[in-house]
Amino acid sequence: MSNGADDITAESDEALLAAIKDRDERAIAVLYDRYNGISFGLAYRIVGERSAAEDVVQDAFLSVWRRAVSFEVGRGSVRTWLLSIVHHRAIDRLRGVSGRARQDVAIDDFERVLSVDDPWGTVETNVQRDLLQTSMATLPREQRATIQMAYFDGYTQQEIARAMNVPVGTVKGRLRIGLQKLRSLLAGAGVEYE
Amino acid sequence: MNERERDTSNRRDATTCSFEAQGFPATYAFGALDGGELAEFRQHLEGCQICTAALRDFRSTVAQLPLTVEADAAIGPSPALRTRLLDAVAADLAAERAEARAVAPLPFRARRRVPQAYAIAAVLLLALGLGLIGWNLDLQRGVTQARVERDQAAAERDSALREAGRARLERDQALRELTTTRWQLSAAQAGQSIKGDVIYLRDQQKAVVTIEGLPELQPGQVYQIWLIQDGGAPQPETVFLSTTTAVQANFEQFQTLAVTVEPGPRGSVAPTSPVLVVGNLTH
Repeated sequence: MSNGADDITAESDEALLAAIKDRDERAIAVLYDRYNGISFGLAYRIVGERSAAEDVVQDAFLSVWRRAVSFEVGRGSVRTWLLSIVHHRAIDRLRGVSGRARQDVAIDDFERVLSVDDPWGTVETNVQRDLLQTSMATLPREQRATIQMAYFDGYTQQEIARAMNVPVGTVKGRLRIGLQKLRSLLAGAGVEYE
Repeated sequence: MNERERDTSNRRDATTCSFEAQGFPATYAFGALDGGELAEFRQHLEGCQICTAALRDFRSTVAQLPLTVEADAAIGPSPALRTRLLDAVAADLAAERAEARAVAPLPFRARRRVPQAYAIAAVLLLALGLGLIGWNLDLQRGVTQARVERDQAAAERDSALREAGRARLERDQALRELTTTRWQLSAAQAGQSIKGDVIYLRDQQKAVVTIEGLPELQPGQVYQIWLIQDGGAPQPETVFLSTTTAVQANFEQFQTLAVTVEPGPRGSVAPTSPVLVVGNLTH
């Protein structure tokens, strides 16, 4: 921590995570203050209920506190790691409530592999959100809905296929083309990966 | 298509892979691959550089999707959540420190600096110290044993959860076709090219609404969804800015869905503008 013992609010996410590894309680508080809004928004969008969304957010931040040592600096951003945990916990909760089983993926693996590059760096979140929403809006309706059901509703390819009355291969194709277009649109807007 | 057929274009010098072309890495990046294809693709992934690279790219893009969630300061966690989290962190920390104290060896310097004048006392203290060391070793063994038991319990719990998950999946697959309904949406006024659909997930009482061709919003405006019972007043639902949104409600209680443009960011309690899109929720 470069700002002295009393003020860590301006520290980078990576510095906060290093402090969490050193068991500095203030660092998890600062990280929470920084990302509780987007974490709650994501959880609420998925589970659709306030108290359940709060449980998901608390669980995710506690997971960051307890498993900070497993985060490898250089493999991805703290934010994408945190949000991937929120997403995974929320989908788990959704599937638990609805009686649906989550995909048979070990949670450690899931959270580790989702620690991917965050090409946005320190660009303002609102700018990122506008660009993402604009890019999503340009996708054909079927691709958007398929991505929505896979990411925000946690449905598997077979469940989506049944819901949309299309073959499973069509679902896979829509997810692939949708992601390719999204990636291309973001790259065209100046977002560089890796 | 079987594994061999899929892999015909996946030789070492190939530049394309049929798994990738069919969307396996993209679907896997969403965690949506299931059934036998999940295990099949995982096995394939171990030896396919094309799919490995595609998966890395797709995951980077999927990781950005949380940013598509609408920002609404009015919908945030309660202040109590921060307190609950920090209380839990403090409790965690206290437990870690207690465990560290229980297993920490005596500092080397403290063992080395023994005043000669207290040699006899030191002998007695040494005996006591040996006893303490023995106690300490017992405690360490106890802690180690407790950890082993905790890990075993966690493994058993995970195994039970996986079994339960598989059972739920089988049951869910049998119920799935009975739990989804789809309705079409169309423009409320002639001459407009607005269209969309609603996919309603009855088991979750949640609908995915997708609409194309909505007029552009002016600054400060939002689209708002209304659910209407026959003869009843429109019930305000989700506001949104893009073309796809989710609605949490029991659609079986309503006969009509409508969309209007309302003042943002939270919409209205009753419609203030003409209906743009409408759908008949036949049950």
